[in-house]
Amino acid sequence: MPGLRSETAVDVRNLYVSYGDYLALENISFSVPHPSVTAIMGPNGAGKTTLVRAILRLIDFDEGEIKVFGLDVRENESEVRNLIGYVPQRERVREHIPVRAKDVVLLAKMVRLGPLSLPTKRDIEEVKSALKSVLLPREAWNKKFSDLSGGQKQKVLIARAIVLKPKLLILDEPFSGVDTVSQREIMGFLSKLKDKGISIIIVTHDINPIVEHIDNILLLNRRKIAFGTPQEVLTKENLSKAYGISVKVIVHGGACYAIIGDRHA
Amino acid sequence: MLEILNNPFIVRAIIAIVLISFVSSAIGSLTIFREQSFLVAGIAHGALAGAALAIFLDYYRILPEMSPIAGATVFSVIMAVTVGFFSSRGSEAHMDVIIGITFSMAMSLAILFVSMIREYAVQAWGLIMGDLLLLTSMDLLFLIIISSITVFLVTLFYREFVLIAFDEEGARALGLKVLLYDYLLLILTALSTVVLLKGVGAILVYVMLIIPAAAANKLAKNASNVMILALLFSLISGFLGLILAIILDLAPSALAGLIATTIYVITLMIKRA
Repeated sequence: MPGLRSETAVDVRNLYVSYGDYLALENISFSVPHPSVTAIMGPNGAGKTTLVRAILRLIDFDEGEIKVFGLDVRENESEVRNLIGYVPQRERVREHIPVRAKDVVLLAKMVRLGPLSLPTKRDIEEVKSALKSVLLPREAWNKKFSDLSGGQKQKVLIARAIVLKPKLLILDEPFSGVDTVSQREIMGFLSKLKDKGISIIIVTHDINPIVEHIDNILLLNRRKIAFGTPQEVLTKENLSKAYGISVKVIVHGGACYAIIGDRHA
Repeated sequence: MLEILNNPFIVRAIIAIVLISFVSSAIGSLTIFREQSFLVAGIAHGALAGAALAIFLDYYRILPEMSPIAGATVFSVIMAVTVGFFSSRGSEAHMDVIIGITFSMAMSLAILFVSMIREYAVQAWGLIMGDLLLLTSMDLLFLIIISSITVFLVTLFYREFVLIAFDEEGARALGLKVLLYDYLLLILTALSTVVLLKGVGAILVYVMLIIPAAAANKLAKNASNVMILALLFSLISGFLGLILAIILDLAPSALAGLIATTIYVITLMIKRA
């Protein structure tokens, strides 16, 4: 349990990732304490998704080391995958396939259990409680995924990840195309998950709506610009370094807000 | 009307329609989910080239007794695996180009081989147009084996296939060996294409494999309903086509194809209404 022993959710050491000749990530090191909420932010093409993919072993890396709860991801691929729940960018989901919201969640549960397994009462109950915990209204459970709103879709994808009871939840751009009310709801239950002992990593281009809930930020632009608390990271110097433009920083209620205009920040 | 069932060719045609419908529902749905319907057209022409090559090898006594269906199976599987191999190294847009190129090559080879077998070209003609009413017991046995394998494996790995189609990256993060499932589906698609090639002919493989599932996909509320509706549409097209063909003395596969496309147009109108 948290508190008994200080644990590290993710430990990245001297990571290099390249696509052919293009060096996407250069000498990245940071370490995410457990349980915590960490945001990975940076401009488009900064390598945010690449970093997440390397942690998930969806891509290989050239050099360095990644450990998830002390396990080397290269040597313990399947154990590490059982520890991580992953919520991909919503645009990556093919929506023309008619799948009901509750079936999206059940599908992941059953695939994890293997081809010959049949859903038990308990599996169904777990699916229901996952959908409840993400605050998806009951009338949406039987709707086709493609008929849901942006926020509801995101909630279904998060429910699908947490039904597998991960210790670490990684979300790639969970707030793009999501209305403000749903953003707040989603961030609210993500914070509750942290209280239950689940670490959260959020890849985002817009830090402002969630900055109050975040313990650490990794500011990235192919290299690590900064890693630390929002107060430490969200400085004019760091943000200008990451975005290559002058950035306004507003301090309000102890939190820093970066004004980066229309550019993906 | 019922004494028509004493005719073994009619009975075999009926069994073939049922088999084709099951295969078309299983593979057609997954092909629609994966948005790879162009692949089916490509593989169908690959199968035709293989069949024509087999007839050629038999004709010139290079490989006597080589059955066209064996040739079609080998060629379509090779083609599916080649497409899979090259497309796993590129983007999805890349896959369209690869299918396009293999499609053209297969079609050119098909025409080349057909032109080389001259008087036996009528045999190849049967594979282009389909010979639902001329199936032998051996043909039927082959269709039963291939259809059973296909339907069994699709049912067994149905959830995995649907999850990969829905969200490939999520499936990989769950630990699924996506590449393995991709190859399995490609090979099953190739085998199904051969089943349909024998029944409805190369030109109509696409229609009978894709259209019922495409129509079902427009109406169904969930993925398994797509398969059930696709099965229903295939059976209706097949049987109505067969009955009309007997009454009107026309090609059953052509009529089945027309009925399937009509069903698709009706579903479009229902969806728009």
